[in-house]
Amino acid sequence: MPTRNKISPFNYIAIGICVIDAHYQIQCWNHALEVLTDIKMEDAVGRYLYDFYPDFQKTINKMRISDVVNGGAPSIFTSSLNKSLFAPKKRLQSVFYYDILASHFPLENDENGALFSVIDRSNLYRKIVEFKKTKDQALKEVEYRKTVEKTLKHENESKDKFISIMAHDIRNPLGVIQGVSDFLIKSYGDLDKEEVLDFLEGINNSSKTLNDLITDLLTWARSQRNNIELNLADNNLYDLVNEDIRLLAQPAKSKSITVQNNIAKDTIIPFDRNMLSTVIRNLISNAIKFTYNGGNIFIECQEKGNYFEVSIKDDGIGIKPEDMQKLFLIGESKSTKGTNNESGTGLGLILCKEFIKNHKGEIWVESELGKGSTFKFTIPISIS
Amino acid sequence: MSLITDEHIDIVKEIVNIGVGKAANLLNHLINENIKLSVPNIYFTNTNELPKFLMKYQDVSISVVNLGFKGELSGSCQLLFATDGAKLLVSIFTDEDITDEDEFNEIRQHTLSEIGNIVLNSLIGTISNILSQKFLYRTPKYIECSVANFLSENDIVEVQDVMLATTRFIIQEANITGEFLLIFETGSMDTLIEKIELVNQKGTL
Repeated sequence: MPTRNKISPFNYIAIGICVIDAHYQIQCWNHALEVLTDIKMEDAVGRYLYDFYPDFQKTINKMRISDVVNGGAPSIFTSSLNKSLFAPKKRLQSVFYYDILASHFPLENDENGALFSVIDRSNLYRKIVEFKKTKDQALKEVEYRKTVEKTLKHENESKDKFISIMAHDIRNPLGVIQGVSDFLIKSYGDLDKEEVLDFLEGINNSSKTLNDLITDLLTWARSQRNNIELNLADNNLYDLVNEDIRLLAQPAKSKSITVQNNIAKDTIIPFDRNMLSTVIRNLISNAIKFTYNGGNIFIECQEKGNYFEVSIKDDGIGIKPEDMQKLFLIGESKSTKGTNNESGTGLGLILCKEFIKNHKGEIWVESELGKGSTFKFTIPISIS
Repeated sequence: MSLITDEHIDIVKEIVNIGVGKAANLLNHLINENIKLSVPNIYFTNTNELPKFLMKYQDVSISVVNLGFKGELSGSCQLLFATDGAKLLVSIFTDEDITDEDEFNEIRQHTLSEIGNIVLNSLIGTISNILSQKFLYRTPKYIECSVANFLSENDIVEVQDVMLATTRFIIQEANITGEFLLIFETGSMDTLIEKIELVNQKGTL
């Protein structure tokens, strides 16, 4: 059994060298290889290579090395495909990379052996890994910027469209006000009191519509500029819904619609009172608008895991499937007349979406044409 | 130069098939995937005519693993891929996502060298065993060049005989084509035919 390096010149080269006989017994282990593997020459020589690196006993490695020992062509082993061969004991496995070449090596007494030269390419490997990381980050950044640009472009387009819709919606009631008042001025002497009152009511309704629209528009504009602060506090949802039902009692009564608050009286949820009241009022108001005389509206709340789900259900006219997706989109906003020809601003659901988003919740609609709609939104149990 | 007959070509085909079978077995062990290697065509030509056989690589970069050998038969064997095919092959073996834009860096070149080395050693080892030829080998090397520069990169200045075997690697969904080339030094082709003739006479294959 060899006890020392028999081939001392190997100690004077910078490449790791190991020589084995046909049985994998180590005959030589040079100084450079001591540094690469953290294994001392005196601990290695005489031992078997697979004592340190069991992967040398894998079928593929045995076949390849056997060919080399028997005079076959040199075999390349890289750290990409053979991470454990000649791996350093002390250094982290991930930061080293060795290129190994096993060549036929004739030993004394006509015995066959193999010589492994181990070249350290760790620096190169690290540079490549670092370069790839930087490149991947840069590509991600470019991708992110592209997405942001696309989103901004889309938002801009939506807002342009929205502004044009709003301008149109403002022009309509203004046109009524201007037209009717012109007529009143010109025909004042020819009209009796009742006719004048009729025309004044028309002006009054149009100005109310205009006022509602501008109020919603301003609220929405403020929400877009993040000027509306979210004032979260534990509030009683049942009470809030009751207040909103009371505010809408007149339009509900005029259509003989029953609005039923089925929320448990002790439902306490953290929410911004003003924002949630706007949402609920809008949803109940819409439900009244699109429900026939004598219909029903139910408001419910369920705890589902880590959020509450609130639903406002009506048995009204329902919504076409193709329109459901557009309801909450700013670029698709439009006002639709109710079952009794009630008007609206077309902005209500967009505001609802904004306010629910502020609460980190979601809002959506389920509907069947002719059978009714259920608007649902979620509010997390705790909002950070 | 002795004339190579269809019978000789059949024997060469059989030797090459044994070699690629051994290579496929080794590569299967390396990645635990079912790798199929096949050699649909073998041609005998010379270095002057070689560019015609490599037309499909004319407009792309090629990656070549080269192994020189010396003995009664001398020359070099080469495994040649389009660099994009080489990238794909390496990505399968390293389970790495290499995009078209990613460079074929030195670490990936080393990995291809190991894969090519397994194939070349299996082929040249089989030729050596069956023809009872002992070779002395040079250190394997990796070359990345164009087809136009391929011969000069291999220090080939005079006309030499060439055996070309198209090799198909079928791994996972990928079908990667490479070329196995044996470029003989002057006179070695005659020796090859002589040795094949001997095998034929002895019926040792």
